[in-house]
Amino acid sequence: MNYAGVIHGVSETARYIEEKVREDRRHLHKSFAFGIESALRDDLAAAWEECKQPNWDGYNALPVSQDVLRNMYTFLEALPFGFPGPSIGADPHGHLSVEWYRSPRRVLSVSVSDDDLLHYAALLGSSNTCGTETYFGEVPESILNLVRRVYS
Amino acid sequence: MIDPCHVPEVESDETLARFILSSRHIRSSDDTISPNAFIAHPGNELSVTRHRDATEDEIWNAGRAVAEVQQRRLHGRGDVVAIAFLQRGLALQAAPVIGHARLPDNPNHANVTGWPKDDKGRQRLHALEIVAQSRLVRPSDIR
Repeated sequence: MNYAGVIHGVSETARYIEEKVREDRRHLHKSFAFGIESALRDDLAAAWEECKQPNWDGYNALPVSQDVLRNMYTFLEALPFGFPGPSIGADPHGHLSVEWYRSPRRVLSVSVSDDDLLHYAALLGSSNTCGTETYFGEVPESILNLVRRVYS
Repeated sequence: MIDPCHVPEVESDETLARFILSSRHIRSSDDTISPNAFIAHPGNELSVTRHRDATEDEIWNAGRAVAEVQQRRLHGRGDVVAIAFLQRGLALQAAPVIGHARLPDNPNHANVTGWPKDDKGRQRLHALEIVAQSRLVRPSDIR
């Protein structure tokens, strides 16, 4: 039996299904049923406009590059349905950031860079956490769990 | 303002101001400050202005002077007591600006140093902890 062919076939099917799921998700995000998309898109566009020049913060911040903008766009697209919409910011490293905020001590902040890294920190009442995850086009489960904890 | 000839070290109970020159650094939902305003870059220093020996007008004048030089609008300032930085293991250095070619004189200027340069997650955590203890003050013309 040609196992290589079977594995290849399974892998192709898996890729096809994965791509269909992504397409459906993109389509649903753009539909009227999920109004969050347009608001986030507007917020992202405004952040890009404000922060694409050097020194946008008056303290010599790096400009937000198009690569960072693209990564943030796909990050927002990859958020699961029903998740609360984050607000969008930028940091002096030239990264865009998203924040899920309930109060000063119940908050998750994640920065999206052009090198496919997600740097995050959260305050969850009396506890806190921080770290870095690699971004492969899907929002890491660890970050989704932190969003859930902010709103739990 | 502080006498530039006798600048004391920063003490833990002093209030320090971080001028906000980007509207992105203010959370519109509840008028609090974004952690992005307290992330040091470039280098490893975060610029602040000490309240010590300064009137309210003098503090705002320092902020307006920086905004003018940088051609930015002054949106407000984040006031935070120095201990908030020290509790995070950061250091405070008096760094008066006098006679600088491109910066306005500010004898009350100080730097927050000791940021974890290669750990951006921890930088963000420090910033979150600090903004949780900060207070946004708006200038009188946009209150």
